[in-house]
Amino acid sequence: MKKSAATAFSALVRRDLLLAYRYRAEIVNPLLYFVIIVSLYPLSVSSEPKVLATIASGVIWVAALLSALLSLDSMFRSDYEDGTLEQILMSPHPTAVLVLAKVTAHWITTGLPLVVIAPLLALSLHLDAAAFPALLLSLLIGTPALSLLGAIGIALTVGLRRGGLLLAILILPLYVPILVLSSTAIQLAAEKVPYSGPLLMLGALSVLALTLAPLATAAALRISLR
Amino acid sequence: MKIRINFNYFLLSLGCLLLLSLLLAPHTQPLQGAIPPETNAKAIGYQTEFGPIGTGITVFKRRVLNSRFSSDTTLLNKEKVEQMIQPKGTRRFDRNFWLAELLFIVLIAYGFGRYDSITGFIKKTGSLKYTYHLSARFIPWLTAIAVLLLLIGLVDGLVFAPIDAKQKDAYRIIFIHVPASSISLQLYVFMALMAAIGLIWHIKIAEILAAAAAPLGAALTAISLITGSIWGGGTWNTFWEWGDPRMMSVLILLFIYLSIMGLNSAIEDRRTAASATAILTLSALVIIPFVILSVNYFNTLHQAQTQIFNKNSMDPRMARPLVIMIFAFMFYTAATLLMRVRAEIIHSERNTQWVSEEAAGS
Repeated sequence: MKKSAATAFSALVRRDLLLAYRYRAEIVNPLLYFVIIVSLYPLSVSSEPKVLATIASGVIWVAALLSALLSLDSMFRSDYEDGTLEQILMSPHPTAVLVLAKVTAHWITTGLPLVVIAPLLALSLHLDAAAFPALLLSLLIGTPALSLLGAIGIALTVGLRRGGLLLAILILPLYVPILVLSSTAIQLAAEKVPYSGPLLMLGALSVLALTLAPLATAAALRISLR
Repeated sequence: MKIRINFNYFLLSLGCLLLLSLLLAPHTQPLQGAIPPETNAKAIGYQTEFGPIGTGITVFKRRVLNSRFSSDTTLLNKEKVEQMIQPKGTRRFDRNFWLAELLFIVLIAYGFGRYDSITGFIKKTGSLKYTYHLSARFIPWLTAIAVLLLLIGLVDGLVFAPIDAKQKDAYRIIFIHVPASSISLQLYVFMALMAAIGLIWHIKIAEILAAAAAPLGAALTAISLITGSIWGGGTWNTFWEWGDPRMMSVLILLFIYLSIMGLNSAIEDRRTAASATAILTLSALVIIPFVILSVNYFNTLHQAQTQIFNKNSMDPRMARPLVIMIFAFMFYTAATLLMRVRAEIIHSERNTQWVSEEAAGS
């Protein structure tokens, strides 16, 4: 009974989504973390609407970055502990495709909710109405790249006992271009000038990550489980 | 390690790319109005960008151009405009960069190539012993050359090189800043090369070289940042500018070097650590073209790369000590790298016969 890689891909995505649905805390916690970080800024920096509007794009993206970082651990950790990861690596299908399935499921459970809730937070931060399309687009294009790049980091550190802080150090430098491009796009949109440039570059980064990161993640998983 | 590439997978990414361009196409707007009238976009060399997509990129570049800096350092700088509209053939990379790169690689290859049998070199523990003894013969020479070049370069640069018209004597920090920056980039490329070789063929000496290069690279990057900051404090009136792409990308390079060191030290098993570090090194290789191109692509505070061998761009009396210093740094780096490699070899081979014989003999 040989089945195609596409079947394996959808099966793995369905399994991960079902698991996430059963343990809803995995979806809710990063989201809660995201909301809390965003709400810390008006409390600490300033509650002045003008100030908030200028920092809104950066605040939302930094919060998205941190919450992605927090949720990454769940991508491979439980599979590593119960041996599912070894089964995945031993399957006849290309590991990169299976890794992509894991990343997809991770993005649907952690990235997509951010995209849904971000406009609400942006509204509370008095972000200019013109910037909302840019905010949504940058999150839609950028968060998959966060998951994909993060997968490399978590695959490298999954076998380590104290990998948490190391993961942040490995991954945050790689996240910087995404952060810069997307918040620039939002700022440009708020100033009502064309913002497609940074978004296109962000898209290019995302596609680059989509094509290469699963291969790197697969190789890293093999090393971690050696 | 076998990497299987699935055709469907590439179709998928191609589809994503198409979808993305479809999504973004309506959001681009025509050129007129987007760019302030005082700028003639053509004169600055934007004519190469085309269509609505080009407009978006142009606006992004203009944003970086205009936003954070006063106009005299950036946009309408006559020299800079002339630099950017040079015909393509004359705008080449510094030959010096590639010369230095070539010499460095030849040096390493000469030291570590076993010309007679390359296959025999692979996976032989004997080769580590060979490397250990060979590098012992190389180190004194490399060190001597490095010290000599440093002395010549420093005296030439600090005493005999002419005073700069605008920056007076402050520019002389260039003789530390540029070599350190240049070698820190080259070392990353070298490290990535060694990481790839180690990852693919499991050659132990390549893994050791990659591991030994990371701390050196981090140190050089730090030197580059610190000297750059001091120089900027004197001439730009700012020690640090968050908006400058060159400073940002070099800072990220430093973080990447540090994270590579962190990962390498977090994994107990040396071979596993080497492979894991190799993947990280190769993933972060994306930053290198960005560091190199950041000054030419984004036109900001940091000046574009000076063509060292172009007489109109730099006085030969300034260029000479600079080149000497770059080579001095290179020899210094090679010598230090070999010292680290020797220590690493002794550590990884500590349970073998030849190391105990070595220890008993000395």
